[in-house]
Amino acid sequence: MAVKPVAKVSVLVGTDQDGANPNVAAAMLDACRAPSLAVGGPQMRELGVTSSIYGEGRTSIALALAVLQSQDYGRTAVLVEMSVEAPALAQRLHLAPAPGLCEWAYDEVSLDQVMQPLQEGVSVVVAGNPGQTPARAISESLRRGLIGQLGKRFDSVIIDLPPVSGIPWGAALASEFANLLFVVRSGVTPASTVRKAYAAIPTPPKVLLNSTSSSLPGWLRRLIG
Amino acid sequence: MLLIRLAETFYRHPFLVLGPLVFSVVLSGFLILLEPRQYEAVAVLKAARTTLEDSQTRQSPSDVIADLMLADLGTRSFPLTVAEKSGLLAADLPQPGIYGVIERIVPHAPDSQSEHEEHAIKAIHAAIKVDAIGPDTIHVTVVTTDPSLAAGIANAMMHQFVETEVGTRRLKAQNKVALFKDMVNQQETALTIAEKNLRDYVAANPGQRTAEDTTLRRLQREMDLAKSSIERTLPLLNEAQLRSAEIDRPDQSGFTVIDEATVPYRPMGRLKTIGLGLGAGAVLGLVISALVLFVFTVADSSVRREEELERLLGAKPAGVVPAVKATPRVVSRNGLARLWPLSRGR
Repeated sequence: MAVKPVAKVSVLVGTDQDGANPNVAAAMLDACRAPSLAVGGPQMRELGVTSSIYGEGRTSIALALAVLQSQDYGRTAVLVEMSVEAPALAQRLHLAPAPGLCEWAYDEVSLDQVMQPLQEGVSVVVAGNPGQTPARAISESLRRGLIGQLGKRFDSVIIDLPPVSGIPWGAALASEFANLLFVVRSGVTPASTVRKAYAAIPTPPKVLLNSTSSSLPGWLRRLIG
Repeated sequence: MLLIRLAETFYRHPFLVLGPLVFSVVLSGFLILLEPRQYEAVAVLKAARTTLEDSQTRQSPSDVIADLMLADLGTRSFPLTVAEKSGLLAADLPQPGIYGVIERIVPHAPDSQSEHEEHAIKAIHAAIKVDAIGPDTIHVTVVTTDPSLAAGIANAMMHQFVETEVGTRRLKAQNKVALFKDMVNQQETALTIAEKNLRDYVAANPGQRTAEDTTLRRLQREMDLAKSSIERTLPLLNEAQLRSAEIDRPDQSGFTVIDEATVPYRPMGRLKTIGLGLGAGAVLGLVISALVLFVFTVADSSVRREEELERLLGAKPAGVVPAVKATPRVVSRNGLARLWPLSRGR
């Protein structure tokens, strides 16, 4: 089940003059500092980021957390796009769409070939071309120990997981990660969907409420608390 | 919590929530402007105390007559006669309110005779107002869209009422005269019989004296009774005949038309109508807006606040990321991430 985001407020708000370098909203990075600490901060080794459905800002949060690892803690970070059913990272970050995770899973390329640098200390592994069997590509990558191998090269590995609902293996994949962040977009996802997706994950993940905003004027917020 | 969500919904969709209110007010204003102008005509009638029945002496004539007028209006024949005499029945007066507006936009099939009469009666009921002003003065106020009809209806109403009332009283007086005449006739017959019986008895018994003969005494008493009955009834008959004759005189009906209604030369002010219409529109719009606001709030089952998420999942969120607005930071492939407004590089 996919929903259309109510507002395209992303980590990425533009590119520089040559159209190559993505710009990250400073406000977004500032907003993600506290959640970054909550999921491990400078000690974080591995983090899966998931959500109930598409469009909850999962990828944006994952990217911001990866950038913060480098920027705030001086650590190296890699962002892995495991949402192979609907890959979007390459397009959003102006990266090559392949080779990526799927190609590496089928042993078509080496790990070095799939890692694309984003900025100093931050690399990205895009989904690549999953072909007809995206689930198999994911299981192959896990079987071949992708996360472990990346963990040896980077201080932190952040995985952009598919949403729990709507993807048959979404919950199963999320349960593979001990450190899991469950993103809920404010004002978008129905409460029942959030509850159902949250209950489908065996180990209760950490929850992040994304894109909160109040339409109330300040005086009214103060008045009604 | 509901209050906050209602307020948030309102500020999130202000046009959607306020739309029905604005639409309702504008629509009501539009409908008021489409309404034809109204004209008011007033006829004034004075009723003397003599118009009251004996049992109505505790009430003022104006109150009694106003009640009678309203009672007459409640019948079918009276308003129909007024409609006919005033020319309303022949006129094609538009219906008041929204029906009239719709009728002008979408003309309907012509009415049957009975439907036309029904419409005329309804129009009479809607147009006429009867007020007792002071102890003996009654105002008949008519408001319609046609100034001539307004005056016509007011005058027709007043004259028809007087005519009906006088006719009723004349009938009553005539019935009374007839009743007393019958009584006198019967009493005269009884007297004649009593006299004959007495004469026959005296002729048959010439030697009898009254003091000793009980039959003779009885016959004489019967004759006396018959005579006294006639003597009692005759003044009543005379009075009833006098009253009947009085009613037939035009200046003795007890009703005086003080003011005939004249054709109004300008329409009534619309300020009150506009105020009431816009007020009603605003109230209706507010109700619809409140309903829309409530439905939108209830229909929105999404999680919006940290507390709601905590209550839903039973776990405190690890963080809250507010919706960001663009103060971009350039992420360079080659260099450190720096604060870098988009406009600076251009």
